Amino acid sequence: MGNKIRVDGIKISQELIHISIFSRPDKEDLNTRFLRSMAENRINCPILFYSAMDRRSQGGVCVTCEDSHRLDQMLALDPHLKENVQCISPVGSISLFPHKFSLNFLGCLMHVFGKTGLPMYGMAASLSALTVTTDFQMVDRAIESLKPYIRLPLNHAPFRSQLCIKTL
Amino acid sequence: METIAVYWENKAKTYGFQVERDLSLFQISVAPFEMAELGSTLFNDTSGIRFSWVLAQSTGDHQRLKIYLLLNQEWAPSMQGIVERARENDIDLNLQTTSPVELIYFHGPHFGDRYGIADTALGTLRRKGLPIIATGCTGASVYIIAPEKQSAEIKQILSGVFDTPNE
Repeated sequence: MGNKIRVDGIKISQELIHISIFSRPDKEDLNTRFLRSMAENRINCPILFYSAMDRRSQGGVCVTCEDSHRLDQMLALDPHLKENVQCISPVGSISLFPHKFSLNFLGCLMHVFGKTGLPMYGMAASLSALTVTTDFQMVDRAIESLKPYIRLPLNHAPFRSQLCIKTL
Repeated sequence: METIAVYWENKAKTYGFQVERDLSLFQISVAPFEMAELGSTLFNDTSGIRFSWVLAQSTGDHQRLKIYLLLNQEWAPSMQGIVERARENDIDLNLQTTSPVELIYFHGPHFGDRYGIADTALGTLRRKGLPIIATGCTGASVYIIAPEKQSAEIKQILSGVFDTPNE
């Protein structure tokens, strides 16, 4: 493996629920229906993945475990939607930054997760961070597995935020 | 300590919409236990390729991981070479390319902390029948991959449902 990757910071989420939504091309787009229900029920999704390159589109959404009860109520009122979603809980997200759009940075993350057998349920890039979701109980192990491959500053910020923002 | 703040806006504010064209979207499908070899090939690549965006999703049965890598079209031949080098490790990689595609992305204050942003953006586009190839929302960012020649219309529609600074 090449030189260590410079990482200025890592952020770990609180416990999340990863919801996968599957739609067939000849049927209603359930992802759209799911997002509308989430908005109407005031449930935030801090992370969202969606792809439609194959015949079957796949959406993935993360919500906080605090919202699980409202999510259950929302799905209970829409049985068709409920039978087409798959939930994994608890998951956690790990965001590393800055990625600088580097293929080496991306490869490092993939190599570590693949080598250590850590599940990767989803990954997405934002302007500066690469965010990966995995089992919540595996998050600390993921960080420890990444450390030999990355250079963090000595005075880096805490991995877990001490501030929680929630929209009511 | 808990602090409650009340804020109301007619439309969610953004910092403006960015568009990139002439891009290629690579979908690489790999088994999770073979991701290490693919990752190693990318980690050791010296071509200097910069991605525009990336997304990955595990399939429903978790047997495959689908990685969507968005690059400028000029990098397409080099990316093909990287995939071939990864295959030399005797791993089962499936590659599908869509080109050209276009990217629309935007950011807004506390997008990751508020409900309704995804529905306002993606729900609006889907309800108007606009095709979306892939999307990712993390942090305060929304990234949308669209077929060729769709970005202008997508930007126009999004400008109607989000508040943008005067350009």
